[in-house]
Amino acid sequence: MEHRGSPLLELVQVRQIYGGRLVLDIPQFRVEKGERLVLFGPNGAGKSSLMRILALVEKPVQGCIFYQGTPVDASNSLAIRRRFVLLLQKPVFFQGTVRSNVIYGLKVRGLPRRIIQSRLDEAASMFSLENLLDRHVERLSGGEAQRVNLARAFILQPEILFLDEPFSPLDASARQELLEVLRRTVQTAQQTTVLVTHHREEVLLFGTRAAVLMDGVIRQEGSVEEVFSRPNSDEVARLVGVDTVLAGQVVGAQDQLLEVQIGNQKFLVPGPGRPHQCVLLCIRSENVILASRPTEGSVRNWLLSRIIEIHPRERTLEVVLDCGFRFKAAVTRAAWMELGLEAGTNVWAGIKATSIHLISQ
Amino acid sequence: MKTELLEIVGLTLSVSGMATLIALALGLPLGVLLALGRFPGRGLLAAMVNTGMGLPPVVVGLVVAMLLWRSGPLGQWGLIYTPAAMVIAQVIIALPMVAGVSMAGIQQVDPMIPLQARALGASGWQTLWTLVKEARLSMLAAVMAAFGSVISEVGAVLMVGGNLKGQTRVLTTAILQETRMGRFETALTLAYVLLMFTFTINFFLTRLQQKGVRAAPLRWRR
Repeated sequence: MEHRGSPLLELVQVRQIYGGRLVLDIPQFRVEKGERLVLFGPNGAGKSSLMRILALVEKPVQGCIFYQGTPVDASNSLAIRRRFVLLLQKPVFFQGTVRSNVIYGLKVRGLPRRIIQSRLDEAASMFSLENLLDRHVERLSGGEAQRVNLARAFILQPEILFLDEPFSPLDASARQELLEVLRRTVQTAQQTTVLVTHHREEVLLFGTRAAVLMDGVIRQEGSVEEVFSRPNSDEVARLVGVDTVLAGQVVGAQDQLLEVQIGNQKFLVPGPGRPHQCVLLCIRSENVILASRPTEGSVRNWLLSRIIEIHPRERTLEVVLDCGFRFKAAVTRAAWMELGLEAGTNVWAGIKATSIHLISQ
Repeated sequence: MKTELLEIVGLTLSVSGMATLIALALGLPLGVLLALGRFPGRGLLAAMVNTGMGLPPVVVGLVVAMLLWRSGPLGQWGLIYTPAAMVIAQVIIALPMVAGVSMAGIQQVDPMIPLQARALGASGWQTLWTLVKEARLSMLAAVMAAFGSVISEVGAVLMVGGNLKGQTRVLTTAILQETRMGRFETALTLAYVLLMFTFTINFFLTRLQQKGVRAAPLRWRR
């Protein structure tokens, strides 16, 4: 069945419509074997719809799905769907015990009792469920429910594991902890996994590749590193946590760097560009350093700025600065104290040319 | 008398049992269709089913009798005053009850259940079966309601069965007959037998229905 070089799963010209509204428009999309793919985007972007189509539990109104190069149709869809598992955002359990829920997928596949028992023992030990197997699902705590949910997916040894914001009901620290455990498990098993999330930290913690979805369209896809460091649009940049996006124009070149004019300021940035071209500059607040005067070294852009606002964050202070336009810097509390800064005072903000990402328009 | 009683009990159970089974076979899919399907006329059909749940048995008896009457449209089948006619009348009484209760039961199941079942690899039929199992409390309530209503009704079976001794006499029509003739003792014995049967069958169905149900114990606030 496998076609050499074919992706594990591929969507071609897929469209989905709910209530007359186009919610998904995907010209082409692939899931490769062994990758940890994250579908990332704001709420209502179409991530869950895309995942349900990929997991073959929902049919698109238009388009083709290929599994290892073979078109998925009515004759093979159930057999292929049974190679996958989709875990929903909120665990939905069937009435009965933990045991009956964990083995549900094996029973619908008609596996012999002997295999069901051995897989159950394995899954119960992997997720520490030995003492919970005879408990009624309604009596599980939140954490136990998540473990049971994961167990009933792993027991099926799926070729692709689809996770639709699986830990969203949990608080941030528990979510991060479970996701870390999950990442280690799937990494060890080289399990192909597709995760849906709208949390940036989950993309960074879990994924090897990311696809950014907005309004039902894939706006950017690539390695997590690439998407986060080189967003291709203003919207994607803001979604991946770029604090400052500035519109400017290329006015010249200097030392193999482009000179970009923004207001009265000039920035030196790397990147392809031609004179008079309109560009966007993406600056992450953590790449902006504050100093009492410009220092010698690799920083090519120094802006004398007024401190407008200060917002305390968990680890740093977010400082809003103005030098004719507004931008943000993140400084440690120690650096802030050392510089003796306060709102209304002037400070030099330094930005390395290489830490600015340029988007051509 | 003993042989006659056994005959009456046997006919009562077979007519009402058969009617309940047929009503289940037809009503369950209808209930599922009404609960999950989206098609033109669904609202009207659901309203008809709900109205049918309160259908007076005597009206059903009248309509079935007119249809099966020798000069009626289905008269050539020769079914009037036979157990088959009684089964037909009882199916018409029980069917809306099964369909209505199972429709309501399935609509109360978590709407994410079918998606979860499919996501774990269930086929279309397995998903449907999972859904029915999730609604099993209502499904068994439907069986109990249907069987209870047909075994205890008298109007329809009397009109289409005729209460013929040894042929179409069931417990309810026999009670009516004995009461009319002033034999209250026999009538009471038959009523006792009817009650015992209804209770025993419902007892086992209730046991089946409550199996696996673990409701949290009530805690009273002080």
